[in-house]
Amino acid sequence: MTTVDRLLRCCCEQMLCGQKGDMRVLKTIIYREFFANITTLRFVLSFLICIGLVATNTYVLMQNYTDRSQGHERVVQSHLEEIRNIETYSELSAIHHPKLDKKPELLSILNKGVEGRLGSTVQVAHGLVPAFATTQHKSDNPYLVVFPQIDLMRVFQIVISLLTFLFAYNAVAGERENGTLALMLSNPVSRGMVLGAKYLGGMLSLAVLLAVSLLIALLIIAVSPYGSISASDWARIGLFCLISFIYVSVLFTLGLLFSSLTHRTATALMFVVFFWVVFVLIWPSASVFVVSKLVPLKSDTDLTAEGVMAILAQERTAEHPLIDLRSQFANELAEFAQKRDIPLADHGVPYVIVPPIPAWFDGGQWNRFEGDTYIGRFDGPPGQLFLFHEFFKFREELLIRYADRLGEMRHAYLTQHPIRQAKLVRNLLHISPAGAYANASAILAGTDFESHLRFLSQAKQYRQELIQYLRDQDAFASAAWYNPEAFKRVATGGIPVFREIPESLLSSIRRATVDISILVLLNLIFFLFTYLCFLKYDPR
Amino acid sequence: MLWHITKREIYDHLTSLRFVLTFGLTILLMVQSALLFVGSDYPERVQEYSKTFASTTDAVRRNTHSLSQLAEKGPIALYKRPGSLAFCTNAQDDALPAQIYAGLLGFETRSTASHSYSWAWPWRLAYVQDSYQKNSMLRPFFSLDWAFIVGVVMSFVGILFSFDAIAGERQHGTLALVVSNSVSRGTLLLGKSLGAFITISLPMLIGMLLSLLIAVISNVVSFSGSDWGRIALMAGISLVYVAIFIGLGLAVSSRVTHSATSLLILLMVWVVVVVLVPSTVGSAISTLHKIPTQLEFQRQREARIEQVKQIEYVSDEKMFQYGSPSDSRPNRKAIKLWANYITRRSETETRHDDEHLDMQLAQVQFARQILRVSPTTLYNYAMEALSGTGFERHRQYVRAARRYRGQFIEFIKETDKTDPESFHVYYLKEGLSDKPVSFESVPRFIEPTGAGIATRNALTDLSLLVLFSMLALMISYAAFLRCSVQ
Repeated sequence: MTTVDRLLRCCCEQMLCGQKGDMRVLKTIIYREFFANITTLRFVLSFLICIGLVATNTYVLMQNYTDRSQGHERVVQSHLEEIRNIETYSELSAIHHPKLDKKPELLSILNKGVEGRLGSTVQVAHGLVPAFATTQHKSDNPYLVVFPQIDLMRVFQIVISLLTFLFAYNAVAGERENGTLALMLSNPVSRGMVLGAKYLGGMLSLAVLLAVSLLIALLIIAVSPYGSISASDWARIGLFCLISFIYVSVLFTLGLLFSSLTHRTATALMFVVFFWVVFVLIWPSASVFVVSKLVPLKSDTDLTAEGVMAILAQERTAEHPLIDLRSQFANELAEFAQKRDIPLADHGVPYVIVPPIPAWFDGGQWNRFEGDTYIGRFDGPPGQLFLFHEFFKFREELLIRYADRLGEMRHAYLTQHPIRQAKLVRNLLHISPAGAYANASAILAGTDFESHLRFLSQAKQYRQELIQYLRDQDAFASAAWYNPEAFKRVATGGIPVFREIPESLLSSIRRATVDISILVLLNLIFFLFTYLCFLKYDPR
Repeated sequence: MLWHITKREIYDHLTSLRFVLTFGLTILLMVQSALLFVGSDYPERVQEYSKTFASTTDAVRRNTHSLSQLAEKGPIALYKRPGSLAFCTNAQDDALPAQIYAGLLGFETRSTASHSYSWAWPWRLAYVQDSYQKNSMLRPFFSLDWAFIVGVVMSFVGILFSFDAIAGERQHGTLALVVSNSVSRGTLLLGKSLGAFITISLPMLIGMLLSLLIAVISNVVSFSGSDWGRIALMAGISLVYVAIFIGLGLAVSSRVTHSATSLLILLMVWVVVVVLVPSTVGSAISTLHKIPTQLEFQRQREARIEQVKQIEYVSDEKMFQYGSPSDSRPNRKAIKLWANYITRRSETETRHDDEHLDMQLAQVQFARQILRVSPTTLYNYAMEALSGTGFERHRQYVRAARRYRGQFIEFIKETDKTDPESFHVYYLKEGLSDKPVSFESVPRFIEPTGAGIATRNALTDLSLLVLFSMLALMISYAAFLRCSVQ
């Protein structure tokens, strides 16, 4: 500490003898604060801790990302393969309907968000509007969940915030205890200037800390084989740095505030730690508790096709909104067949379970809720082939309309229950700076729940493309719908391929504006209060 | 004298601001943890467990109308009972699988021009990977339970109450005064540590009692006598754990001149031991213990099945040389032939799945063993063992399920022997008795849980924790004996 003391004395002397303009003094104080900070043991130790935490976490997260990316590539390949090997168009409707995979976000290293928790594959067909992303890519060892992984956002949110407080808590009260505050204030320099200089000096040293740890993280990402960072990612990483810096600044000004509110460093430290526990540890889980009490979650099993088919298999008829939908569908089909004098096959089961189909069909069929696959051939009077095809055309167009209705039901459930919950939690998190920081960084990393909804809505658009394609090919009304022989004769290269469109940087920023402005606002408020307190502060 | 010093320390602490804040904070956290638990899906999980358990038992009862049916369909599913003390430590329990499927695994048909046979693949343990988790859009980063509050927050409080115990007095100059009295340094140190210890245990124990009160009043859980014993033991462990940090704080405090430096060093130790090691280092270390990927396992599995097919299932003609087992009067040789194939293949798949799971568990276990260097992990493990949650519990559950598998098969074979009309061939539906079985005699799946077993599981970690706290106190004694008082 002797070097610091010497430096301190030197600075004070400089200020005492020099009346050479405020700017000089300001510079001196900033310089002094900066040096006094970075030569302390606390800086060295914090530095080591930050680097250690960031390096190990980035390494682990990068490994995890690599695993997930490899899994994603594998799954996408096998799903493409599946579609390439179909034998009739109707396979796109039940057995081998397109499965769309969400690409893992590289920036999930910055903030995991909900990415690992929600499904990453969604099934789409002309009779199936995607609502829930269902399956997760299997990880090599699912039991590794017992070791929670900490992303960079958490490192900054929890550990670095604590370090920031350590830098700030004795900035004012500590100098009073040492007696240097009175000396400094006896100079012809305004108190606001002193405070501003203290803020800048402290933030400068914290910025060094932040910058070095982020650089190390970037280095680890860049050297790993899957870590190719695109231009937009760079911009996002830059913004993440900026937000982290603003967040740290909020905590620093708050530390300054406590420091100038109290006369003893120990008291300041207590308040600071108390605040930290409340806003970083308690508030986020408390808001989840509050919301899960306010908006209770209804089970979604009522709206999954698997559940309905299981009920049908057991009971054949039951009271259920989805079964109503299905029986309406079957009835409309039967009516159409009756009107056109199409004889229907008798499967010996109610139409709710196996929807009606002309008796002229000879082959296998697979019944799902979302659509049916037929592999076989037309086995009726040749003159009726046209009518046979017309039946299918009517059937599939009808299925699309029913799928739309089911999709709306599912969408309504989603927006009323899980999404409403998630939105409420997000709004409650705004209150805590740690929460606002978490929200903003998740948006930038593309791992918040709205990014997931974006993926789902893109999947819905893909369904429209698929329908358009099937209509263009006149697939519903052709023999290729059910007959592998006929299908071989038509080209199949044109089945649309799903491409995930990443969110534009601008729209990410727009969504993160609220959180960022909250952070900036908190900065200003805390600084203003600190200024007011410091003006009236008794330096003795 | 010791009591005198302790009393002085306690009074000092109790009137300080930090005590007031700690008290408020601890009570707040504990109450919130109880409220979170009451509001969590735990009651639903318990309900779901008893519902599915009852329906499965019913299904098994229906299958007892014939022994061969029972042998084919098995116990259907083995459920993991939600730990009654999940309230004290959740330990990622809701992310681990909650059941092992143990039922029928599909049908297959083979036919030639003259014969055909369809059979069901008999039950075996299939390790499913879904868990309790519901709306995963909102899971808090921390599960705010006792293990977290004590493990993270109270350890920090321990440091907060001891970092300036000696360095602070030295700075004020009171240390020289105290030491100049006729008090041995050991007594002084013991008094100081006891003072801090009692001060911290006060809010902690009151908080624990409050949270218990909320949980009991809300009627979400009902604790049995042995549960109360375990809860008491958990409170004891928490005290031992906090003592480690007090000892550490005193040790650093007596070797450092400024209390601010002491706090810093302690804070760094705290971050490494409490934050870094239990989470990140765990995943980092587990990457050192490589296991084959999911895909490699899949390929290996297919290769093994292919091998069995080549040995046991030579061709359709060979398999049907004695007719089909489903003939009205089947040939014993045909039954033997098919039973051999089905059993062998089923055993191969069982062995493969067991090995796969064992490797996955071993990878996690490997990292967990190494993590024992941190007292926080030790504390977490001990709490998990006592509350019957977490990874170790899951491993025991898997082990119990495998033991039960043996029992169940043994039961089928034994019961089959009593029927003279049976072919006594395991396993083929046609090879076993068709007589009804009394449901009461069918072995039940019972997980070995209870206070005795829980305590035994926690014993290693518990004794290591005690050892750690002794060590911390000894170090602080050694450090204090030789420190200067000026």
